[in-house]
Amino acid sequence: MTEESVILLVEDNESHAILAIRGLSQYHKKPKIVHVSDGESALDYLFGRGEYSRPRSNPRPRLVLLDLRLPKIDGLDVLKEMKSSEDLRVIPVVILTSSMAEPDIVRSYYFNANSYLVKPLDFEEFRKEMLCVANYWLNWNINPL
Amino acid sequence: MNQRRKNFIHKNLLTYLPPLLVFLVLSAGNLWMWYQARQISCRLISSQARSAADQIITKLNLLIYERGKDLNHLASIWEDANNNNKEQRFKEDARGILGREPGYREISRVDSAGNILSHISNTSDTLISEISFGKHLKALSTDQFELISSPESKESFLAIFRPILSDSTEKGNFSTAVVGVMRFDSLMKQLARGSIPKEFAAEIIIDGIQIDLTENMDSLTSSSYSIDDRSEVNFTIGNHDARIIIYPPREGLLASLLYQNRIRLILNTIAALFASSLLAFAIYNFLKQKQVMAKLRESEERYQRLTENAKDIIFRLTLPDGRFEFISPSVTEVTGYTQQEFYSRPLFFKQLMDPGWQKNFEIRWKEILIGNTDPFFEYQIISKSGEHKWLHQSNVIITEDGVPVALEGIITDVTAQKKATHEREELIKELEKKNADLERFIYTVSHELRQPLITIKGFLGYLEENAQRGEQSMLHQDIMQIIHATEIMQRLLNDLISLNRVGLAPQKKENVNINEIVRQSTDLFKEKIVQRNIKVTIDPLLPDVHGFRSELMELFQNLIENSIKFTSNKVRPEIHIGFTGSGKEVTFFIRDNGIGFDSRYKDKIFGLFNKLHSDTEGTGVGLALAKRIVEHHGGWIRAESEGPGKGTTIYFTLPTDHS
Repeated sequence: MTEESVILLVEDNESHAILAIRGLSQYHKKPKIVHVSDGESALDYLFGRGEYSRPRSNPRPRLVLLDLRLPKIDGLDVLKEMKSSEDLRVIPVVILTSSMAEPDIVRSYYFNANSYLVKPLDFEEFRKEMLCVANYWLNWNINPL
Repeated sequence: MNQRRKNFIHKNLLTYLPPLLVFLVLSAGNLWMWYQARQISCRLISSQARSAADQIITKLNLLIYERGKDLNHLASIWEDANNNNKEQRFKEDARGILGREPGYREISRVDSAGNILSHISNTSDTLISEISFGKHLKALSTDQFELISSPESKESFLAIFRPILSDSTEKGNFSTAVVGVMRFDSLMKQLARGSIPKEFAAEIIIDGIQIDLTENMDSLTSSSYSIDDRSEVNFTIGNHDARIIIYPPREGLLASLLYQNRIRLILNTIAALFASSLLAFAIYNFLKQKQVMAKLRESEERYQRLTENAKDIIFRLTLPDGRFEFISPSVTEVTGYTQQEFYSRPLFFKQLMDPGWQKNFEIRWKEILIGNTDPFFEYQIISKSGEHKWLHQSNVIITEDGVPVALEGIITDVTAQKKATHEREELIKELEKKNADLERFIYTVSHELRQPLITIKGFLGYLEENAQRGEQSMLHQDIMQIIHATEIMQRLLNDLISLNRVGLAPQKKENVNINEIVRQSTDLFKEKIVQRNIKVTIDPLLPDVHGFRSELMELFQNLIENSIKFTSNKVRPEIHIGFTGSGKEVTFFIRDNGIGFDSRYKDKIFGLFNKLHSDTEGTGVGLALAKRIVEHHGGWIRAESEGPGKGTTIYFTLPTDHS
């Protein structure tokens, strides 16, 4: 079984999703990136519900990149749900948002987010950040199996 | 003259004039009594004088009559024609008379010229020769007696005359006469003896001749007799004017009477003075008391007025029975119950207490009964009309020997203040919420604005990279991303401006014809409606709304645009605009058969930048804006859907009435 690194990208903004995917794709191990655009779909994917009910085609992610402002179910609610699940709480969640509001940061950590990143305005910065995220969480960081 | 001075004079006149008058009247009475008593004394003296005078006159007349008889006898000797020895006989008889009657000094026979024809005397000295008889004879011939004073001896004499009728036929024209002369002073003293009380001094003046009838008249000048209280009586003896003067002694019954009278006068005067002073004091005190009473009454009235007109309730109730001794009339205004109702039953106020405060009241009442109370407390009552009122009560417990006997205090109706405080607190809460909303809004907006910026910068970076590499395959796609981001940004900014404008623009509420607004709104999207063959149903006679025209226009445009947007995947799209209800508030609705939503998210869809469908166009401001406009009009808005794909209905209320 080939160890394929899956990143779940939860991002409602299509353009940002493209930018993030391009950034993450620079990583040499070429992770598989699953993109969903709302909170409901994210939870469906993680819990293997609805259209994501076949685990073979929808592998468990090694990292979740989570935007906060999402249609239907909010990013924080997705985080809360994940971290209260025995099974999912071990998956690292990196908040990736354009919000620098203190309450968002505090609440994210309160609900056990593993990291909080603000999308940089600068293109180079954005690209570098995505590369570093992939390198850090998929290469250096040791995850439980 | 100013009023104060006038008052001063008036007051002093009122105080001092009556006592002065009383004093004057009493003094006048005293003087009158004193005068009357004195008059009685004087009359006593004068009656003594009168009686003395009468006695003296009688005695004198008797004496003259008696002596006249003697002289008649002597004259008859000369008138007897048969008597040859007249001279001798006359002398013998005259001598006999002189010897018998001690008062006689001499008896003479004279002719009409005054020459002495015969002379018989007790003493050796001849009186008649010394005095000129002539000038007295004329008088004597017409009267019984004449007073003669001797210039040499300064003695006075009484001469009694009897004409000898044989020598003359007429009385006034006599040829010879008999004249008897007596010592007047000793005679008068003899006459006076017994007529005048011994303690009195007296003098008699006849024809200017003054005779002291008292032994020692020198004492007149000394202080033995009262000259001031003397009494004079004028009378006549024959043709002679006479006056008798009587001097009462300084000491004795009369004097003591007069003295007592004087003492009484002085004492009475002092008594009058004392009485008037007392009266003055009494009047002064009375006026002062009256003034004090008036001031007291005035002050009492003032307090009463204050108490009765006060908005606050002033009360006093006795402990431990809780019976009102006093409660001011304002209690009726505050509680609706009359003063009488409060007076009628002890602890009447207990039943006024709001049920929620009954327990608190009982605790407080127990505390009061043992003399403990907070200086102030507040509680709620229910007035007669059922109104809940907040009262603020200040208390003082009155104790006697450490035992609480009464509770006094002031009760103020603080309902309005409480309400104001509550409203203020609500306002503050609302303001705090708005502040928090604003803060969140700013973060949200800044977050939302960053999104297209990140996109633009990101894709510009790729564009540049690809251009340098000469790679053109991605060019168009990346440019489209940038254009799309700028469009989003533009829409976002426009929407934010609209959102911010709600309630800010200076505009007036008016009656807005909603039929017209709906027609204009649908006209705006006419092209899309026709193009996509959307069936738009509009209820006839939509009611007018009292509101802000431009905002209402924005509201309907937004909601209709939303419906058009969310029916884009339908084959037979339908939109229905209508209303329910009537009266002051009407509920409008805009219903479509579009994509709908999961009812779990029905509250979320009105949040700013919240989008249920990431794949639909729009910024997520539209419904937030709609909510804001409806709330600005005092209404509410809600969204209903039976589920995804089953259409959406937006309900919202708007005011139709001016009030």
